Amino acid sequence: MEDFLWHKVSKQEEEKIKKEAKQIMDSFASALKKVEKKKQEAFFVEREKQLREETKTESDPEFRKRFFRNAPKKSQEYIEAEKGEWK
Amino acid sequence: MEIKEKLRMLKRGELKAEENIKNFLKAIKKDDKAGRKINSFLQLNKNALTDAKEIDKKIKRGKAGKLAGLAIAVKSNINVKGLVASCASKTLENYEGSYDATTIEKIKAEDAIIIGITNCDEFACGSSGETSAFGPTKNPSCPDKIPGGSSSGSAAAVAAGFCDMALGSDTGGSIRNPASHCGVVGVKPSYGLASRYGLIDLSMSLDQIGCFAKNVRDAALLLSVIAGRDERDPTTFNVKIPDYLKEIDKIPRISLGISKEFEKLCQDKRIYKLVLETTKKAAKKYNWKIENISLDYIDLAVQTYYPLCYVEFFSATRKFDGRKYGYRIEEVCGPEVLRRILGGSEISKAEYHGLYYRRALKVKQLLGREFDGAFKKVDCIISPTVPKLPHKIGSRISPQEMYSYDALTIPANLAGICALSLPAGKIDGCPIGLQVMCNSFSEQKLFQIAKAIEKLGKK
Repeated sequence: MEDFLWHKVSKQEEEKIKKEAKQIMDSFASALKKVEKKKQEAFFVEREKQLREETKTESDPEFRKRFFRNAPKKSQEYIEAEKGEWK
Repeated sequence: MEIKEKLRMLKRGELKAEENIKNFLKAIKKDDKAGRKINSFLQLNKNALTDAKEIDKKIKRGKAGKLAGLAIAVKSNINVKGLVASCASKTLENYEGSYDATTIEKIKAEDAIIIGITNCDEFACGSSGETSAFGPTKNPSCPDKIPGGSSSGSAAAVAAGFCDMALGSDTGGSIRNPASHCGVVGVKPSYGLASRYGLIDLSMSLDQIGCFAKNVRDAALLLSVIAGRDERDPTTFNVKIPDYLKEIDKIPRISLGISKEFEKLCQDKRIYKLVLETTKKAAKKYNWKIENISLDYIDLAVQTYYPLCYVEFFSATRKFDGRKYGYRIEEVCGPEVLRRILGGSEISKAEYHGLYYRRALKVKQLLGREFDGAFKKVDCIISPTVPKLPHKIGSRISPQEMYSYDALTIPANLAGICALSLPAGKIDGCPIGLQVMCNSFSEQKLFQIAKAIEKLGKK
């Protein structure tokens, strides 16, 4: 039992959340087990008349400025996104 | 004042768009952060008054669109150029929308004014409106109780009279659930009716953008603007969008379905009783036939939805690595978002292949087939929107108890059909929503049925 108000998560709580999430998923998967064999899955949807017309779109001159404003690190013409920083 | 009447006044110049916006800004100032402290808005559009003045000029020239001068609030997971699309998370707290979502483009093209960006559950992960990193939203219609979620701010803003209408997103009930708790109308269109381009996704196979309004007609008006095929969202269908308002007052000849399974899922039986009584009253008045239908797998909707949602959300959040914008999500998010990321990461591991996500996909198809079968017998299905009364903000409950708020709304998302919640009465002072579900792309019928039921309540 917990309240759902936002708060910063501690390392200890993170471990608890991870365990709890798996338990929830296990209980849900077990409930679904009894009916899963009733139908074969199909991973496509038949759709007619969905071919896209290739049209030229106007670019927004302001877009680049706004996008750069959102970037945490930039160097003149480039956004710096260091591979090593993302683990 | 009804939107129909307000639009008439705006057109005649009896009410200025600027005045309309000023009135709302005054109400927001009085009760959103001060007074009743609803906390429905995260940001107000500082250009709203300037935009309104421009719209007034267009109205005067007789060149204005069909929403001219109206104030629309937008959930913070929908991109609006120049406004912060934070998803109520510290991850994107400074993220400025660099383009307009298609739904926003369409609203602006009809000369509505975006009044501000609304609060919601963090990244739309929640059913109560409590998980926002910027504080919970209060329910204007039921003080101290949750407004429902995840589109809590949009529902509360409409209920509190802070805007004319609002946009939200609905993945498992995030429009209909808060609409029910706040006593307003909320509509989730069929999957593929409205473009999701510009929506920051929670679970892309289920997400839809939809509308909040004070009544069915106004919700239909806003949906008629945002609906339609969009080349930038390949999941949208090329279907003809009828004029929802044209025949909205027509009473359709229908048979409606009710199901015993809904009663079983209702934790507060008074809610089922109230909705059933309203349904029977409507059926008697309009000579509608009531059919008992069987939806055998509906009790598995929550268990089907969450594995799909966890995995798709985990995938969707991989872009929030803090390199190009914002902060790394795992470092700054709250517990519910973290639960879904960690859970999604875990169950999508190769070693669990077929155990969670694929199993849920299979049951999703089964549920979809059940609805297909049901809609061969009946024109619509009616149920309560939410199976229990809203809890007090800050109450301690389990995640499963939280997830069960959406037990009756999730099925429509899994089946891809359209659904709407409208007020049906009150229990212990809290509004109760009645949900109408119709087959995919039957929004016109959905609005006609809902309008007829709404009319009944007004007499």
